[in-house]
Amino acid sequence: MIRFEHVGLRYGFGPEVLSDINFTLDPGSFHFLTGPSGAGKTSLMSLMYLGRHPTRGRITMYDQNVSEATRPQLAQMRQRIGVVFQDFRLLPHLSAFDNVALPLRIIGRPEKEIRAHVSELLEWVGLGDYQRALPPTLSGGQQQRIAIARAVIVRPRLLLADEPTGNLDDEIGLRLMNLFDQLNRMGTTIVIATHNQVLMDKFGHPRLLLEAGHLRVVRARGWIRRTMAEVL
Amino acid sequence: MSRAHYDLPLQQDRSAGFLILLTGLMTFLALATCAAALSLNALAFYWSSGLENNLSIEIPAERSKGGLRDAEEIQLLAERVDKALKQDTNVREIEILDQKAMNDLLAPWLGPQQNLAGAEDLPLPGLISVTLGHTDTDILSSLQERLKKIDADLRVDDHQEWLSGIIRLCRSLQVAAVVSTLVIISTTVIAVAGAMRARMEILRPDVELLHLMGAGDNYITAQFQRHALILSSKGAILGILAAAVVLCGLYFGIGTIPLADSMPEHGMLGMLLLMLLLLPLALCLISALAARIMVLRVLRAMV
Repeated sequence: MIRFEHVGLRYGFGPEVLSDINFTLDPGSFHFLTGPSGAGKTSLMSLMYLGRHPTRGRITMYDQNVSEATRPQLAQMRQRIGVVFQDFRLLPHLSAFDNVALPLRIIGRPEKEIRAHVSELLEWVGLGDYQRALPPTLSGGQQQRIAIARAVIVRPRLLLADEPTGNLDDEIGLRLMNLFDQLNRMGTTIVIATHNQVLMDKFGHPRLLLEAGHLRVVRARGWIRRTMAEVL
Repeated sequence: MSRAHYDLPLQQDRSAGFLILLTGLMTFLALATCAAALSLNALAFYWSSGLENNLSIEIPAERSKGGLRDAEEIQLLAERVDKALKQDTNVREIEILDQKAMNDLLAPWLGPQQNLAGAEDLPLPGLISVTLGHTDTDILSSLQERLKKIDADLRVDDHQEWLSGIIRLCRSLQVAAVVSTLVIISTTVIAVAGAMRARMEILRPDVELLHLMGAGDNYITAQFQRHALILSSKGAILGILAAAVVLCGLYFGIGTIPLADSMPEHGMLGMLLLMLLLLPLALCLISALAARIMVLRVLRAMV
């Protein structure tokens, strides 16, 4: 699905914020991306959602070298990635409905289909009554749910979420994690950047641990036990 | 829930009114300049067609060897010229200007003849207006040769010297009008493209978001292009209305000679109507194209 080989990233002439990053995400995998603040999680995410090019190394996505992809190919790759930004990045002039509908319109789905899918998803995230509301009139938690709905509406092959449950209460947070789990079972590869130790322990997916720009892949404590249970 | 016309808040542009007004003014100026160019063209046509195949033969009142010719001598010479010309099959019409016609010609300078004492004694030349079937330099030089045999002082004027100067002036003004129109169109296009670029800079975070969601260059560009087209179209309509009012006022009110008398009515009106439609249309399309090219350039600078 996605492979990083000796990837480095620096901003301008500054020091490398990411150094020699190597990892592979298999299709259908689920990872938590964690590490202390300033470790480079957001920078790594931006490389994964093709928001910037690495200053060195090679990124392969869907079996294609990203640096060799044409602009239309890059656009197609991005259409298969859902992103939940830490600051949500909703378009403030568009209603909740239109924000969620945006990815479907970009890929050219018919309006009838868009209406049905978006309404259903907004109902599911508990915002059925806020379809016409503009984001600035909604709470942080509601905005976050719109951002999540927008990221999953196209059933992306790769879902990247930066602190997706940060502004949500436990119940909604759990529902959304279950949604991510469901998507994962349907084949979506998921990476969630989070500091939430409880969440990581509860779901027990492997972790990509970033420290001072270097990455380590860490198996979760409950991973062996769960794998054994699944095998048995 | 209706589909938003724009994903980007382009319609919330507060400078849109200024852009519409600017485009309207520029359209008006471009149309007025084009109308002036057409009028000059008509004027040149009017002059050249009025004098085409026409020439004047002058019997000078003063002999080249000295001394003045009296009216009787001039009349005799005119009759000899008339007789010679009538033998030429290429000559369609001969008119010897009589005293009254000469007086009418001189009236703007000397006043009505009846107010002028001793007007009959004025040494006035004899004038013969000739219309030929067709003309070229050989025909003219042959005619001049024959007339010189009657009297060496006879002068033939085919008006080309005067006419070519006037037509050259008309053509120069036409070129200036065309250049002015191009400058006006360019200015409008630059203003529209600049406004789109400024709008794009303001909306850069939103544009980047669309880009990250997989929106292709065409998807984003189409929104700016449509916005530019709508704004310039609104301005163009304003400009057309203003130009139509002014041009109709000039055409029907003042009744300019070249437009009214020289060219076939439907031809000139047709040209004007075509110009009223095509020029603003071209301006709108070029503006939209310029906006597209500019937005594409900015987008290609993104990852």
